[in-house]
Order: sequence, then C-alpha cells, then structure tokens
Amino acid sequence: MLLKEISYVRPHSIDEAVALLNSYPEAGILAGGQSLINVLKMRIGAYSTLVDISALEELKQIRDSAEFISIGAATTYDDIIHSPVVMVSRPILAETAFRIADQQVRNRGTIGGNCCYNDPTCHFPPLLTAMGATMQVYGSDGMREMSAEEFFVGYYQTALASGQILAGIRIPKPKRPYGDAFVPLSVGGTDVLNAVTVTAHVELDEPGTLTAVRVVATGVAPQPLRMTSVEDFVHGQTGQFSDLAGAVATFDMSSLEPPSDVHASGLYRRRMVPVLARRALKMALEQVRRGYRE
Amino acid sequence: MSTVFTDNKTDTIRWTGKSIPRKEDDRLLKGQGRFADDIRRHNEAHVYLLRSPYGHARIRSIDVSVANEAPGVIYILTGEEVAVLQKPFMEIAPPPGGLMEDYCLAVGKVHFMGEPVVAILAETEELGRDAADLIEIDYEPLPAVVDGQAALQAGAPLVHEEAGTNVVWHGVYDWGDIEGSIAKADKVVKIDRLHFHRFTSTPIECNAAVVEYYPGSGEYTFWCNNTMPQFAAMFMGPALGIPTDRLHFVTQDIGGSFGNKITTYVYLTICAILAKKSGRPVKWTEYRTDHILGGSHGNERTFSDIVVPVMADGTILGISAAAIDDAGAFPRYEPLGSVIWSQVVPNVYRFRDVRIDFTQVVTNKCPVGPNRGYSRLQHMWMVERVVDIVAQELHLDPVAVRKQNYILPEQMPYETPNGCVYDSGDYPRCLDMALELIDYPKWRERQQTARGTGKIIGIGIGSTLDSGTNNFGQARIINPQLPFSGNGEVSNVKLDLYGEVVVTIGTTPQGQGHETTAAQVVSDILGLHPDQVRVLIGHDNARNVYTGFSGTYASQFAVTGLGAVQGAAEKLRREIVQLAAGVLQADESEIALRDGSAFVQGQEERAIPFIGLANIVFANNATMPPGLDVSLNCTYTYRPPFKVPDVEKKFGNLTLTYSTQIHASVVEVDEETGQTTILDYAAVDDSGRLIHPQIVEGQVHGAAGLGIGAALYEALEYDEEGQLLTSNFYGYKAVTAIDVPMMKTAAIESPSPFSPNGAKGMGEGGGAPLHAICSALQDVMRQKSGAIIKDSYNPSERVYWLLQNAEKSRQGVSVEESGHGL
Repeated sequence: MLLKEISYVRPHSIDEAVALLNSYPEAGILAGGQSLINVLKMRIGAYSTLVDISALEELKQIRDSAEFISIGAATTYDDIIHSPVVMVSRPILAETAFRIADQQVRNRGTIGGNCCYNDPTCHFPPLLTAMGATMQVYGSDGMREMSAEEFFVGYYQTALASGQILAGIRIPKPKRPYGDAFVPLSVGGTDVLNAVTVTAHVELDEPGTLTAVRVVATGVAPQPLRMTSVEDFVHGQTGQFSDLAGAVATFDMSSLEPPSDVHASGLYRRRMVPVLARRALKMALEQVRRGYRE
Repeated sequence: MSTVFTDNKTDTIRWTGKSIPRKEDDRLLKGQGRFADDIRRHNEAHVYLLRSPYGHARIRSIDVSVANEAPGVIYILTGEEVAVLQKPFMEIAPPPGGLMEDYCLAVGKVHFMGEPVVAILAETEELGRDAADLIEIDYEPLPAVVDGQAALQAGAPLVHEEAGTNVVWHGVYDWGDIEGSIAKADKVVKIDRLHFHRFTSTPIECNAAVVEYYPGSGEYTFWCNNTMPQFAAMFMGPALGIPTDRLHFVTQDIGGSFGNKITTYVYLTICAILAKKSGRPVKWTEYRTDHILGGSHGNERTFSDIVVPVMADGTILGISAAAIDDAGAFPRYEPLGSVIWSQVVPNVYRFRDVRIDFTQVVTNKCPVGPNRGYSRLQHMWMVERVVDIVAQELHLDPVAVRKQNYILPEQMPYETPNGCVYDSGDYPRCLDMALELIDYPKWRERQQTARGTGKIIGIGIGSTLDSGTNNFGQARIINPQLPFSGNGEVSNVKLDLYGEVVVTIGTTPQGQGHETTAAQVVSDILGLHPDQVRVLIGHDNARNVYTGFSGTYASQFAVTGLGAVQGAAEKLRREIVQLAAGVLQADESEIALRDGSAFVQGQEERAIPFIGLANIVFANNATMPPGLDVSLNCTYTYRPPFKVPDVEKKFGNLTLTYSTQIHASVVEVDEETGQTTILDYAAVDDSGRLIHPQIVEGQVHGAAGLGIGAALYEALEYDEEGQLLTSNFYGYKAVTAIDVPMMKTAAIESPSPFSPNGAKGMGEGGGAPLHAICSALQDVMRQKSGAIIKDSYNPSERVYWLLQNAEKSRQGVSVEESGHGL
C-alpha cells in the first residue's frame, strides 16, 4: 500500500453514502479509483476517509427508457462497452469508453469518476456536453439535476458540492437521425493522452435541416467549451451542408488561452482546435446523412 | 513472419540453430519466476528513500528528530553520516571527471531531482514513507544547468564545485585526413546542430534488492537484479572500505534491464550501510516514479559544427563534428560512453576521414547509464542523419547514397579508420531485402497518389550495427591508468551425482533465453536433448564461476557466454569419453554419446549411461579405471582474441563482432496535425550464425519497439530548474504493444570468423528505428517544406511545426563548394 493512513467506509445505499460523506470531515468518494488512488499515491490528495460507492448496485445500472439512457455513475467503462442498450441507442459512448487506457483500467474506471475528476484530457466531459447530458446529483436534500455544461466548471472542478454524489447521467435518445463524433488528438501512442479533443453532435429535423448542433472543445479552456458560433452557423443548414471550414472559421481561435505543458504547447493546442472541429463535424454530418445512428 | 536465409549448416548439429521452446517460458508464463522482489528474509526491514524535489540545491539542514520517533522507524540515514561511513565512489575518468565526488546519499547539496537525500529503514515500507513525511529539510535552491552546451558556458552553475568544471572528459578523435578530404571534395555539407534526446528503456521490473550483513564473516549478500555485479563490486568495495570478496551478489530472474540496471551500486550501497547498522536484512523495491526519476537514463548528445565533404556522385569522404554528451549529475558508468561510440566510427560506410571533438559534461539531471544501443546509437543516428541530409541537399536518392557508400561484402573483414575490424556482413543485400519486404516501388507510387490528400507518405532507411563483445581495453583511451582489457565469460558444465548435466554461467539473463541457448549448445556437444540439460541461471560470486566481466550487457552472450559453455562442454565431453573408453575398454576414438549414454560405435550394447560414469567419479571411485584423472566437473573461460588498443592513436579493435540491422519504415504524416503513423515496417538482421532464430527475432521486435517509442513518444524532459516533467507514465509515454506496428523481419547469416560459433551479439540493436523514422520524416519534409530533421525525438507537435515553418530548421544547413577548409 502506498497511501497515507486513511479510513475506508463502504455504505450499503446511496443515502448511507451521503450520510457518511456528511459525517466524516475530509471525506472523498472512491469509485473505480483509477485517478483518485494515483492522486493519493502521490500524497497530494487530502482525504482522511474514503467512501467506497463501487459496490452500490443502484449506481451501476444502465437503464433504457423512451426518452433517455440513464447510466449510473459507478458504471465501469467496460460495462458501458458491453451494454446492448448503449450499443443500440448511443454507441458513441461505448466507442469512446473503449479508447480509455487499457482493459485493466476499463474494468475499474467509472464514467462518474471520469466526470468528477474532470481532467482536461478526460473523455466524457466533452462528450456528455455535446450530447446534452443531464447530471444527476444526490445530496442530503435529495436529487438535483443540472446540465453537463453547468456541471463541468473548471480544470478539475465540478459543480458537485461537498457531501454530494454524482449519482447518474441521463443521456437523451434522439428521435430523429443524428450524428455523434469524438475526435481526440492523442500525444504519445495510440489513445494515450488527448491533448485536445473536439466532440460534435447534430440532428436532422423533419424538413431536412440541421438542428441541436453542439460542438465542444476540450483541452483548450478550463471547461469543455461550446463553440457556439460554429453551432449557430451550422444550425438550420441542410443535411448536405459541407462548408466545414466556413463554419469553423466563425470561431475566434485567438480567444482561446490553452495551457502549455510537457504534452503540448498552448499554441499547438489552439491550432488543433479548428482541425479537430472540422473533422468532428464532418464525422457527425456523415452519420446524419446516412442515418447511421438513427 | 520471419524468413531466415541460412548458408551452409551441417547435419550433425541437431539443436543449435533451431527455435526450440524456451526452457524459461514455462515458469515465467505461469507467474512462477523468482525475481528480486520475491526474495523474503526473516526479520527483514524496509528501505524508503526520500528524494530531492530540486534539480540543484544546497542542503542547509535536515531535521529527522520527529521522524525518528515515528512508529516502526528503525534507522534514518542522511548524507552527513554517509560522508563518514563511505568514501566517494571511484571514478573511471581521470581529472576533471575523476574529481567529482559521488556518495550514495546527497552530501551537502542535491545535484538532480530524485537524488536520494535520506534513507529511512522501517518495519514496513509504508511506515518508512509515513516517517519521511515528518522529515524537515531546509533547501537553498541553486540555479540549475540542464543542457550540455550550456554546461560549458563560462559562468554556468557547477554541478560539482570540487571539480571546478562541468567537463567530465574531453578528447579529440582524429583519424585519416579530414582537411585533405574537405580540400578535394566537390561539395561540403554543413549542419550546425543535431540533437539526440534523452530517453530510457523502461524495464518491466524496477530495481530491487534484499541485502543482508553477516557480522561473523563481514560478508554482505545482495539478492538483487544488478546485471553487471562485478562492476558494482569494484565501486562498492573501496567505497565501503572492505575487500570486494565480502560482497556476495546473487541474481535470479530479471525482468529486463537494457543496461539500465548496471549502475544500481549506489542504491545497493545504501542498503549495505543500513543492513550493517541495523543488523537486519533490508529490502528495497523501487517505485516506477523513483525508477524514472533516479534510475538510469540514456545519454543525450548534441552534435555541432558538422562538416561533411562529399563528391558529386554522393560519395561521402568523411565527417568532422563536435559532440557534447550530457551524462547527468554523476559520471558513474561514464565516461565510457565517450569512447564506446568509436566502436562504429563510420557506421556501415566506407568514409575514412573522421574528426570528432568529444566532450562529456555533467548537468543537473538524472545520471545516465548504459541504455540499449548505448553510445553507438547516438553516433550512428548522427551519421544516418548526415546521409539523409546530404541526399536531400544534393538532390540525390537516399537509397542510392547509402548503396554508394556502404562497405561491401567483399571488403570483409573490414578495418575501420580507427582499427575496428568488422567481421562479416552484406549491407547492400540486407537493404535490398528490407526494401523488398516493404515493397519499396509500391510505396514510392503511393507517395505520389497521396499528394494533395492531406497525408504525406515518407519512406526511410536506418542502417546500423550492433557491435558486441567489448574489448575493455578501450577504457584506457579514456583513462590510460585503468587496468582493463579484453573480455571473457566463464561457464561450468558438469555431470552431477546422478549423471544429470548441469550448466552454470556467470551471466545475468533478463529475458534473453540463456537457459535455452546454453542447453542447445551443450546438447549438441554431449548428444542430449535440451530437456536433459539443466541450466542454473544467475550470477552468484560466492557459489558459482564468474569473471570480472561477468554479466549480461553489450550484446555478447552468444559469443562470450556460449563460447564459455561450448568450451566447458567440450572439456566435459573429453572427460566422459576418456572415462567411458576406460570402462568399456575401447579406444577413445570409438566412443560416441547419445541420449545420456556413452557407447562404442557399432557395438551399442557396449554402453554406460552418464549415471554410471558419475557413480564412478562421485561415489565409487575405487573402481576408476587406472591412469585416469577426471572430475566430470569442467570449467572453461572464453577469452576473445583482443589486443590492448593504441591509446595515443585511439586505435584498435574495440569489439569482436558487428551484427547488422537494416530497417525500412514507411510513415504517413497528417499534414494538419503532424501526427505520424507507421504504415509499414521491415527489419533485416544479420547476426551471424543464429543459435535460436526465434529468440533473435524476439530481440529484433523488442529493440524495434523501444526505438519506435523513443523516436515518436518517449522523452525525459526537464525544465530549466531541473524539474523532470515526465517522471511517471502520465508524462513519460512509454511505448506499448498497440503502438508497435506489425513488423516484417528477415535475417541472413554471415558467420563471424572471429567468434567461437560464428554467432554475433545482437541484443541491443543499433537504434535503427530512430534512424529509419527520422529518415522517413526527412522524406516527408523533402516533399513539403524542405525542413531538416535535427532531433531524434519527433512527436506530432514537432513534426507539425517543421511542416509549418522549415526556416528555423534550415538555418545552419548549407552546401558549399569545397576548398574552404574547416
């Protein structure tokens, strides 16, 4: 064991988990541990108690309904990859989960953990933002819902308050042809570390025009960034829309102040945003046109 | 798929040359291997090392008083006490490098981030780590020097004030007549700077040891994974003030080393001091982050003022350059790298006129140590860059320029400008095979069709040598006082009490399959199946045979290790034959061996099994046939035919064998992102006679994988304060299996005329992927910006900027008419 001495509690229900979180000072939530344990190993995390939610079955369900897929926050990447519900309704979730690290990590890491860690290289924050997901936050005053955009507030920061748990994520099931795209730029080998990622979502309405357009960049701003000018440009165009460069050119790249680190310079990151945005839009539009994800 | 082209092979050899199942795999694949961290001793205590968070800082004070009272703490060792208990480690270099003081813990100041500052011995590793949190160290940060060229500037911070300079070693290598070459050349190509980056090889098993001190004999036992134990002993004995025979090293299974585990003597010394102090066996196992921070890095080298005289047809006449090698904070194995590169001065080329002004410096970075391809790959990378840059700047075909300049098979054995004798090889044939494997014309076509698609295809060649079996006499070129020369390994082959054949060797295999290949050699000599031969691996200098060179490093086992095994097995065979002839009352010439029995040829009923022979010698020796003196216990030391090099002229044969690797790579670069994808890859090797083709191919794959990682993903990067920015796998993007493309391999066998079995060492490879990928990227740039690939490390971002703006990389690169002189 590499950690400092730490208390560990394993609640039997989400209510008990919330109660424990509120009764221990400096309590943190342990789910898959794929980021948290690394942080504790480096002794930079300051938790004195870990509340282990990984055994809570109610947080590990993938539920299907007419309007939504609901994914429990403690659902592992591997469970998402192998979920028939996900594969039928929003396969991008499985495709993206499959790109995370290796099988050992995917066996343990959870979608909720990925969201709550909210590292700019994390896969799900930009994807869920583009998908218009709803985050279900559970606290002592019950369940509260917020949009993904409200949830991801800054580098490693979420809207989750102390004593609250991310219980689940609700992802809409579009009723019309749609496209989802996840386009990362991995620095290092295959799917190693995504310095910049752009995700996109589009839908095609009855008259044949593009709607519900969302284009989200991450790795270049404190939170997953909606490229609203691009979205507005594409919105209302026909399904045959192809002026990707024109759409992306509406976004003021100079407004971005991406970080520079050992993985990539800020300038390179900024330069990659339009490239990836074009590719993500292209991919989403191709899907919409062939109704692939209808 | 591997294609092996075999020359002539005799029918009497049954096992050597075949890819039999590896003897070690059964236990390793079942998780039954026994590694250093698997060793447990009664009452063991655990070492935790508190390391420097600074690249360079004075230690004002260390307060361990609170930590001393922490639960489970047995002993806390600091540099202050080390300075009393330990003499500075010996240095290989003469002054100024020889003046640099190296202790097992930081004394007075820290020289690199990750340097051990305090060692805590505790009941458990966790308690040690908890106690470390209670230690207060007052550091005064000092300006750091993190670049080799900067280390030479006047006023640069000194890593070691006691030396008065950051220079470890400086020497000018000058062979032939470079001035004359420049005067008679048609063109002179000049390149201001090429930079070979810092990376390491990431063995799966980190460093580990269990160390026990016996007061009764004054002996220390090190169950460890050091891969060159007698080199470690040479440093540790004098440092601890004890005879080196009190240092008993034991190795077992080792999970990779690539040279990185040679310099662990520093850590073993900490453990030795703590074991004696505490009277307890002490156990130390490195964390991965510790390994990356403070293990052993590969040499970083900057080449400057490169001048290349060339004829119009692309014939390269020579190279003149300055090389600055960055050794990190302490020399340790260095400055041997300052001469080892000269094993392959012209790489695979015929040019004769070479001048290299070589300086090795210290910086505030982790000390370097041997790393797969050690010191030669840096130099050969520079030569391969020169070839590609010459081709591009003179508008010549890089394949044609290579063929124009390759040493030819009919010139073998070939003496290089500095007296190294390339034993055998056929470089043009290997290149043709590599090009055929990738279907070179097809890719040249696709390169054209890809134009305008946003993807640029590049084809590159890496031609290299893996020089194996060092002549340690080359160390005298660094320091004439050193009492080293030649090389050697020793093996014992015996019949055991019940007739089993048992082999021991002084080596420290770490994945190379010594048990298997040694058994193959012995089986052929004694007429056995390899399953009937037991090979006890590992170095054990109290119980087993060894020489001062024993270990596993520098691409030599096939020559020195198997040479020793062969010699010992042949000796044993003679004794078996003598004894059997006496017992069977036959002439020695009539005796044959098969399946563990000796018999009279043609009369197979006249036979005696090995157990019968062993019984006579070990348990029934009153029945020994008269006049015989056999022990059935045979030791042989293989000594390669070396002479001491001429130290003044820096001239002599520095290694015995020179195996060839010619790699061809096809890459695709995404013009918009700079991302490089390998589309096709071929590796053609000539390692002389192959003992076990599959093991050789495994080494080829491994070396290629590490090289590809180094070329595209892996770099040990420091900031200007000496902070390592890539100290874990989040930052240090070690290559994984999915990053390594499907590889096409082939081999030819040009037997070495100098080795006892025609084999050549080949475990390191010559870093060919670095050369081949840089070459392919140069081919990409040639089609676009004309940028020059000046760095060995080319992640996506660097490629992107080279495509965007060639100007910066082209600065300092010129082609001049000759006659200008240097």
